[in-house]
Amino acid sequence: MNIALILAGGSGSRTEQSVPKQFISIDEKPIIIYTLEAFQNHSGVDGIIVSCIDGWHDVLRGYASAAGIDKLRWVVDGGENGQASARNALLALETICEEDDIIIIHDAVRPMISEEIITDCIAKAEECGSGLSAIRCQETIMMTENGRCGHAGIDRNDIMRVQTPQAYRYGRVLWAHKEALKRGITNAVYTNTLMMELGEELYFSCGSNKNIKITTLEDIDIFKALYATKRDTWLKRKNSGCMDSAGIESIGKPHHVR
Amino acid sequence: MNIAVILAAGADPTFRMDIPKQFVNVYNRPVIVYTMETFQQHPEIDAIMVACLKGWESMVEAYAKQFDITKLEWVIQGGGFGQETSKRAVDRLAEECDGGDIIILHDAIRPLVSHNVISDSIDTCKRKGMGIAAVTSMDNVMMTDDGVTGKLSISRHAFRRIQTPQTYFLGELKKAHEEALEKGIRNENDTNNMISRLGRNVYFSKGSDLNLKINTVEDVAMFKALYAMKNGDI
Repeated sequence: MNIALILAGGSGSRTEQSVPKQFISIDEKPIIIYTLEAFQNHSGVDGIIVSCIDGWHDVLRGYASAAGIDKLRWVVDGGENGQASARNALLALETICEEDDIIIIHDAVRPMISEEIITDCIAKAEECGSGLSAIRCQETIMMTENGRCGHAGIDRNDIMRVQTPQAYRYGRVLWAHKEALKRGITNAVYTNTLMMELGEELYFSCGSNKNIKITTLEDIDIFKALYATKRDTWLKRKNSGCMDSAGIESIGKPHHVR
Repeated sequence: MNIAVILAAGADPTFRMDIPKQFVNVYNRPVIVYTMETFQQHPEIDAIMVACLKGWESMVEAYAKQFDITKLEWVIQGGGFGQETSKRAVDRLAEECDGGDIIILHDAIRPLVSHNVISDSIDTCKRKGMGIAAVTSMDNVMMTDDGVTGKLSISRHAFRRIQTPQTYFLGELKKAHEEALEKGIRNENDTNNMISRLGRNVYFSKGSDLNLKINTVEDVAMFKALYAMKNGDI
């Protein structure tokens, strides 16, 4: 069984709106519904659990029902950060999931997730035990302590940007979350950082530049633009899950272009 | 004087098209024209130089005339690496300009740069000696040797993603280029990397996620949509 675990516990402090960002409506539809639709429409996903911000559970159920998201089976309380939200949902599945079931953890505020990304993420987890959707970095990154100035540059070929979805075997990810609590690790935004701290081997699956995380008002503009291009029929898509429309592998061994 | 240097020397094979991405047409004009227009319209910019891929200079000059880029004063040939292109621009400008003049390096393939981002880069340079547009990442980052497995996580708060514009004082940047050559630092893709390899701090100015870098055909589609939205068409 493959279960999508949607993180929707955030309050949206960065967007400075009263409505949490995952519930902000774009073209008459809350962002989280775009996200849920991607999992609803994916044939490899059997059920959906959402870790939802307090006070919005009924709203979520209402919108989901209106949008025909019948795979949504559980809504649990979100936590104070990504780690707590994921943990709440994983604990709620203890009597439901088997060790070998696959859990696909995904941010509610990444609505541009595609069928290909989900497919590859699940496939990687089935094969290797984990699948972290990731992309190569197009920009130089520089380390900084204070955010005002930087010193060491890191070669962009040595790094991958890790997004969600992230898929794991249920038994392993549940163990990791319990173990992290025991060891006092409580501030991980994403499960991969916690798994890494616990010494787990992690594998990348194919992500996309388009799979943006909506955290600011600017990002909402970018999402609108991306959503418009998604509907642009002239943009021919290749069938292979790991190729973008330029035919460039979005994941694989990084190489120097010059 | 504030001089914008548009970096247009790249011939990136990952784009896999016959036309280099800075010259690809979007709504019937090359991407670089949008970039030049932004600097043309910016009140703090006095002159524009284009550091161009060999063989495409005439095209740049023709389109600049067509679209009234009156600030364009120099079209020079860029180099194989970002560092070399930056050095050629600096050497050429040093012949005619003052060491205290300000030089704003900007990728031709970032046509959506806003006036605000340019102004903040110039302003930061005046205060700190340089202004490098940077953004906080929303994704976390993992180090990898093979692109298949991750080996180390870096918190997204511990780094910034570096963009352009990158603004420097002309004289200072010229000195940095000379020092880099003396120390055998060559073939850096970005000027900021050369500066940090000299052991200096790099000062950040305001970047933007909208300051998209066009690297793939997918990015072209996104640029079109963002541009249409900016103009109220979406």
